[in-house]
Amino acid sequence: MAEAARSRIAAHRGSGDSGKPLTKRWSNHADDWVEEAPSGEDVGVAYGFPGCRPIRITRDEITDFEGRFEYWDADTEIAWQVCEPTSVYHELPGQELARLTERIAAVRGEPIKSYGTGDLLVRDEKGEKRVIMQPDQILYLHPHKVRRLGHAIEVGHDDLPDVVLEVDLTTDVRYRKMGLYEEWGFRELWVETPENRAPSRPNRKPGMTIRVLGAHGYEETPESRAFPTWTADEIHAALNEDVLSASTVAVLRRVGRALGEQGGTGPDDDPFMRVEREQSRRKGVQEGVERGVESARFEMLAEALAARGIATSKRLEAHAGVIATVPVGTLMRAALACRDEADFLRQVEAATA
Amino acid sequence: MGLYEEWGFRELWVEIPENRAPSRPNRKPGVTIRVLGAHGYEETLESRAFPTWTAEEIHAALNEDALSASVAVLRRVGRALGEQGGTATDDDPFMRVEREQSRREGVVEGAQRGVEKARLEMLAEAFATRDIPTSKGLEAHAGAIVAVPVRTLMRAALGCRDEADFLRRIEAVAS
Repeated sequence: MAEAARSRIAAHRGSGDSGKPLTKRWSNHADDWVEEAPSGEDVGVAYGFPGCRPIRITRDEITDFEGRFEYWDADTEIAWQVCEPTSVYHELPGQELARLTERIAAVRGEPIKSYGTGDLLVRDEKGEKRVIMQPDQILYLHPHKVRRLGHAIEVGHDDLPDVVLEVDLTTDVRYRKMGLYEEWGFRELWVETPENRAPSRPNRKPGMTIRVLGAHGYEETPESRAFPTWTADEIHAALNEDVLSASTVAVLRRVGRALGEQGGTGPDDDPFMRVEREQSRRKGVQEGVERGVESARFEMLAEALAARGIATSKRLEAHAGVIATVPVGTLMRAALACRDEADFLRQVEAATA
Repeated sequence: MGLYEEWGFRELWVEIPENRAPSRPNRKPGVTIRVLGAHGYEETLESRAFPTWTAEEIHAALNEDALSASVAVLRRVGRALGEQGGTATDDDPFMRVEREQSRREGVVEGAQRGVEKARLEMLAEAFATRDIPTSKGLEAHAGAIVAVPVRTLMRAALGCRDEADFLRRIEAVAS
């Protein structure tokens, strides 16, 4: 996958459009392209970063820059930063996704690593930083199989994440970022428009769009390929819940188990779940032993009486609670010595008095 | 930090990851916890918000590749927080379902054990009442004893001449 990304980058190198205005670059999904009336004040639209403003970050400064931006280009030394202040509504889906996938990983029995907004870096032929893009969340489904990452995910060198999340609250990744993700070979791109709309974008339709990389680029799909059976609707619902609902719990468990089946793991392979499940299993075993002893004892007793030709009635069942408390020796001696059911119950009751 | 203090943020954690930035190779990794007191931020060894969670434990957990030693710590802190609020693991809808499932699996396993235990005990008492000596060999046949219908088992126990005769009778049915 890293090699494929390398060759794609090489093929596109020198296109030289990173700092130039564009009208509408992305045209692979003409049907679902719902263009908002571009605001005359939105300088980012012309450059493919609606909702963003340019700030200058030099090549020297970028090394230690800890702020958030969508895209940085070494040629222009311009970073595109979201205009509206980093809002809770924008940050939440990425955080929430990490929490949800943590639950899926627990059921699956194998970790899923989320790296948040880590840099996605493309270097030039000399090894210098050429382009940096920041997603809203990235997920690795098999972190132990991934070569250890450095301070950025280097496209063309590192293993790419299985899923990238972009939150389009005031931005629109379809103009440019989506094209780059496709070009760089990111296998699955999720674009979430939260239910909590930005005041500046009140008409945006909330929802999740999943795109998976196919032979002809990104194709929109109703469910994830990385997380089998997890649909866009379910992901959107889960990301926008205030409290984990019963339906989302069921969905997360279903997806976790589906993933676990693929890899031959289960919740007991997760160290946290193993301890919690073992604790409740032990309680269950204790409860089961008590139930098993009680029912087997009663059955054996009823059969012992039947074998002796002693008829029993519902009175015996009514005394099941008493029978459970009587020592086994007393119980069996009474069963084998009694004249009838009434005599048996008298002997048992006498033993417990 | 001054602003957090001024604005009244009650607890501030500052983490320097084990994976150091190339430009800051000499920074000492670790978590520093500061809680707001009467005279501003005071450095503490453990969190006030997450009772008993120490700075060292937090740093270790944040820098683990895979969850290991931290499991016990997380459970301890979670339980301490739960005790404060009168909640427990089963109040979490996800954990409740998972724990309920494992509890049910345990009940099934326990019931099998319980049946085996009760059958062996009742048989031993039936033989004792009939003055039929039994050996530890009876327990070795627990599998067959559990597999045989109760009626067959009890009739064999009450009709047999000795332990060997009993085992012959139930094994004939079990096989």
